[in-house]
Amino acid sequence: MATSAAALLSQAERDRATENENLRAEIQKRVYDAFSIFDHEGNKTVDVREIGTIIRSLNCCPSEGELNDMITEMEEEEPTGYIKYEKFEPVMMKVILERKYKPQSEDILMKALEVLDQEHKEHLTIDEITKFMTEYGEAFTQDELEEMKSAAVDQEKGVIYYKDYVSLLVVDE
Amino acid sequence: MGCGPSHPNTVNRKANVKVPSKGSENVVFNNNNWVCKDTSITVKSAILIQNWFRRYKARLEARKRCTWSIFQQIEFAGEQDQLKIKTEYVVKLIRHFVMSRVNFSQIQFICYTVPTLYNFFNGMIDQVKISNANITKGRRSSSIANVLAPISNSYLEEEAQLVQATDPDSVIINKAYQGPHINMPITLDQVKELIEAFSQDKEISTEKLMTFYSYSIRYGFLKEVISKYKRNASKVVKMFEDVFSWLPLATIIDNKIFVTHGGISDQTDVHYLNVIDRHKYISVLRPSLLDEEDGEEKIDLTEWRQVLDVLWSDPKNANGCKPNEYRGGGSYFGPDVTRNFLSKHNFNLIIRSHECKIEGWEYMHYDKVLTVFSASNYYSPGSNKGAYLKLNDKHEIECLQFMSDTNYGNKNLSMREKMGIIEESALREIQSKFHSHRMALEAEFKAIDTEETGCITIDQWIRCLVNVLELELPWRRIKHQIVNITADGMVQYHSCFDKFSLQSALKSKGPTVTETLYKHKNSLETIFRIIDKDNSGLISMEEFQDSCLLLDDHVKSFMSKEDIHNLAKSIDFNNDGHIDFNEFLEAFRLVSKEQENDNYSLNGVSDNQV
Repeated sequence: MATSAAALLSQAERDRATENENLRAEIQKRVYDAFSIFDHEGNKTVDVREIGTIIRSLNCCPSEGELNDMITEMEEEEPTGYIKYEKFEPVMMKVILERKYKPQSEDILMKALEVLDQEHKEHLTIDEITKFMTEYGEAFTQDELEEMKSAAVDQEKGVIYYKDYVSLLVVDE
Repeated sequence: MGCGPSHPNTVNRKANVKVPSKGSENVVFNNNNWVCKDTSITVKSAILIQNWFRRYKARLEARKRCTWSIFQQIEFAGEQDQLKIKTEYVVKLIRHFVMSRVNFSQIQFICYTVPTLYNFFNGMIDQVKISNANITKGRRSSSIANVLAPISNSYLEEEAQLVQATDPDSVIINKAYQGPHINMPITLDQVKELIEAFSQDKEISTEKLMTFYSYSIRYGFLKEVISKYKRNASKVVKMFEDVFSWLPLATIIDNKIFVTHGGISDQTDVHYLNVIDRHKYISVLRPSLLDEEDGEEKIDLTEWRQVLDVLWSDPKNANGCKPNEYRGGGSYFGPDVTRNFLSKHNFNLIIRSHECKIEGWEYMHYDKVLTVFSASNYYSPGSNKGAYLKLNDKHEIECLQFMSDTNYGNKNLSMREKMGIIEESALREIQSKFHSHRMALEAEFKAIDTEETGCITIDQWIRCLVNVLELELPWRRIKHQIVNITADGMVQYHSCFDKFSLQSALKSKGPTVTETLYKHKNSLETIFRIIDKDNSGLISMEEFQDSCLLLDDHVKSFMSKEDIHNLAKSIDFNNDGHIDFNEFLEAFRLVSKEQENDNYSLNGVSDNQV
């Protein structure tokens, strides 16, 4: 009896190992696909300026600082302006498997917006969002600000009803 | 910006976390004590929102790139399809129609207008027994260059150089060549001779094939001219040519900005370009210069290369300069080539076009090369913006974007909404591929799904698509939009045909005939246009049947003779013995399942007419 229990156990372990292996393979494919879309010359390299987009498109939410750490890890000793896939994959796989930089939940995002709405008026003015996004934290560029405004600002009222905006940001999950 | 290493490509290394100084806070929030007490929570909140937004933006960007790659790949595949039309088919076609029914002036015009002629010559290239002629599909004009083997004339050496200049695999010309000699303008006898030689598998060498080639690649433009000017079309085309031959190759603005169509190579010399007699170049693909007075022809290879390079080159991110094999002419030039060129001529900027860009414009080479593309909606409605530039006297550039269709150009649409429109048309392109290869795809799926579960794995599904459609699209990324996937990750392969259905006015003919006609729409159109001597859009019943039979010879399992016969009968809607083939071709279309319910019968053709 004891032997068969041990056999069962090891079978369960084997199953788990296979499952892990499958999961790993699946993630690897996703990482490869995300990279390939930006590999314009088909030579398994991408422009370092696009690395941030690739990492974030894989559903990671690193800060600019954390992003730069990742890039440093991937870069050649003499930076060339390009990142090779062979350097990208291990760093990216590690981040995903360790669930680092997972995006915060929608609720937390909402709370963060509420913090900025200091008068509890349930919306933010364009001046407020401009100020917070460009003078606090990891400041937006002008382009980023414009893009956020273009989707977030209510056309008629000229303010941001952030509850609506949050639902827009999470819609493609 | 950037405090990283000297390479300007390097991103900003320092993560600046901004915490406003007390002073500024007091100014703005002097009525709000709450935030002053805890700046850090405000900063944290800001960072969190910024991270969220950046991820959101990145995901949209990835989707956009993905869609773009679908358009580009399908465009490229379409060009390759044209190369696949078989030699025998074209020979038969020419024999059958051109030789018997059309007079010579029409042949010449057809040569100008029909892409099959390009295939015809490409087919000849396959047959030409030139040693070492290494023909690769997709490398179009280099394979044309392979047959530029001159015979018994004085500039043999120069032409040989020309061939070498355009193709890395140098071509050895057989001096004992006995085949037909072709000159422009081509005569009917020469065509006959050519076809004879061709069908007897003789050696063929041709001159100035590039003329034909240059006409056929402008097919879209010519088609428009024909449809608008009908009988005067050939005259109008000649006039266009004449006008174009006087357009400058490049322009220099205030000695600082170099403007041209393609770009540069490491050989480009503005002073050289300046002294070229522009009018000699009717087409960039026609290098030979005819001097009729003393009957001598001359090709200046250096000059030709200069012209090709400015018109056909594309910038690339990698340093260096290499021939552009895909386009078959011009070069890829790297940032170093740009830098050298600009400093040599003391310019500040290169402005060029030649490549479609999503935003209508794009800077490359550290803002030293600006691409501007002015045809909006190039791949599909909403696929890309067009742009034009405004330059002030200080050489500051303003890029103005536009879209020709206001529905899509509406600024009020958010990035995500626009994405939706573009994605939809990309997915439609894919659906069209699915439906024109439905039988082959289904066969492939079923071969894997031996137990008839209706499901296969994602990897298997992708392999089938790549095998049948020969398209390496980001399938894995877009799978959810084109096919149902079960909770345990299996593809329900039937569902990829569900979103759209292929409809035709000829309902009773059944799915097989409809799919076959849809798939070969372009080939049929080519044949119809050859037959249709007066561009009226009408052909006789016999001609229609002959065309389909020809295609039947060429395409494996196209349609049975009986099918063709029945089809022909059923589409002569008013029984006058003629078929409006434009209408016929329009009758096949992909309809989304939602629309289908609203609009059951197409083109007003009801079932009892069919």
